[in-house]
Amino acid sequence: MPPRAKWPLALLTVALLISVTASGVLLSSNAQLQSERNAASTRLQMTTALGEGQMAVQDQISRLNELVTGLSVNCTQLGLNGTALRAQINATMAADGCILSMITFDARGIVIAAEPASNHFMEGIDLSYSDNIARSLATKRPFMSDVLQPLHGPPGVALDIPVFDTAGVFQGGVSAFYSISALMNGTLPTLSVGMPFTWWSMQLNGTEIYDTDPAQIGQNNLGPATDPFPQAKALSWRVVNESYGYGSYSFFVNLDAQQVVTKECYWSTVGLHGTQWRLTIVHRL
Amino acid sequence: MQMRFNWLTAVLAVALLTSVTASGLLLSSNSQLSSDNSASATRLQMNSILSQGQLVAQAEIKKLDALAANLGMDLGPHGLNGTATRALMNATMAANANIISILTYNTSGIVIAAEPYTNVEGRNLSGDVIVQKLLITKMPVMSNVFKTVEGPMGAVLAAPVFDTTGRFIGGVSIVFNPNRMMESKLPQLLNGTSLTFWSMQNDGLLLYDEDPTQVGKNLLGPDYAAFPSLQALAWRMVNESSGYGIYNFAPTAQNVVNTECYWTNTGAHGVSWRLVIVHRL
Repeated sequence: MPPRAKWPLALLTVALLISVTASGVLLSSNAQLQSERNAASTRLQMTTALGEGQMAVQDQISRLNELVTGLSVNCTQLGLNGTALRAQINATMAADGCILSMITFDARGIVIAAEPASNHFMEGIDLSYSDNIARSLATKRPFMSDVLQPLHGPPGVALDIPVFDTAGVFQGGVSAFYSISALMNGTLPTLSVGMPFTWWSMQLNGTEIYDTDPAQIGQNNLGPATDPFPQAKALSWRVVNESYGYGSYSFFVNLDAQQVVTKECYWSTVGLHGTQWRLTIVHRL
Repeated sequence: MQMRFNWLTAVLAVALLTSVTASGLLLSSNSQLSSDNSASATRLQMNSILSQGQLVAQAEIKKLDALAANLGMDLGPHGLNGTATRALMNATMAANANIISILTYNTSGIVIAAEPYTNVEGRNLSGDVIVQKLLITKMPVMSNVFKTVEGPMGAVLAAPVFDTTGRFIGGVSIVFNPNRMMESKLPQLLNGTSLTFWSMQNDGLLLYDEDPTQVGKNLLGPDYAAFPSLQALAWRMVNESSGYGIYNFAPTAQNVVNTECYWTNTGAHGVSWRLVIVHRL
């Protein structure tokens, strides 16, 4: 074979080597881009679901506020007690399954009417010592508490609306005690059906008021529970101090499993009458 | 020997062709993925900035709401008029540059004191929906946006006033400029991006836009009839508190642009405004 005839073979070999190398580089780059696309798509889904979750929770809280405000306006005519008022209290509770109980209280903070019937024992009790009632009596303005743990029954949030008589004199208030956990549970999981996301929410003292893993509700993320997870504790402080953000941390996949995994999350803010809670959507990495 | 050589050349040629084809496909796929990733990154950025914008706007409304509530409480010992009352009203105005005016009114809705526009004193506001609502509920309220007599678009945040015995004696209304409020806070969230914000009330009225000539127009009205995709989207915004959509609009007569946007909700006391973040495609 003449030497000139070997040139095309050599050229083909070099071209093939270059092409295969280029394919390898492109393949690697493709894998990287695919991975980035998946991550971006997940984060976009997270922020979209978080926005919808924030709206849905806010709407639910606002709806409760409207219900209780409506009842307080009716108290102007009906007073703080009586058959007609109790019927309206029970109708208000029936209108929203998250409401655990309701009371009316007078201008001294004494409970005048309490529903359901299992709470009648509260009537006559002086609640002026409790933070939320004391604040309502002092300001005569609507107020929503953080999550409270009553002596009996599950924890909840007190939503207090003032009551005035027809002459405009402050008479006391209506207080609805509702389960924020039930409210969020009825709202959030449906927004992330089919998506690998979980939710949690905490008040600004670090206490979890809702978690897809119920065992974590009530846990304080700024306390000993996160001592073994400095990243999680640092993130919790950021969540307290910033109304919106993104971060990642390591923590148990859930408290039962005790398996530690890395998670990314976005958080935003919901609330009413000056009380703020952070709402967080989580993706296990 | 020659036959083996030819075979080898043919195999190499086929391998090269396959490899080049694969590279071409990968290049095309990478180009598509890069484009997708760039679009996703923009949308993620839009979502993040929109959420921050929503919270910033909400916080500004809350500041004004707190000013109204505190003024309502501070007026209790002084009543609805007098030197001390007017000093408190003026101090509240000085505390927030978005406030246009402040007025107090009694339980009949008669304006008792107004700063700085004293000419409205004595006017009967009992026919005003927001004054009626405050007089009935005796609770803080917020109005829809309206064109103020002073000129700019305004909204009212009002709070009840009780005397020292706890008796309801009337209300105090803060009239503020929502456009100025948003203009002072939202653009700084967009630094270094090609995104813009606009905001509309739930009846289509534009409260805020980077183009001031659009503010005060109604997206659902004749001004925008030439842009059916924008009007259809505006109707979606009226009915859905958050979402994503695409529309065409011509900021200038010759320049029709295709635009994607996300929107969310902001407001207080039951009043909803849509806040929209926009990206030109």
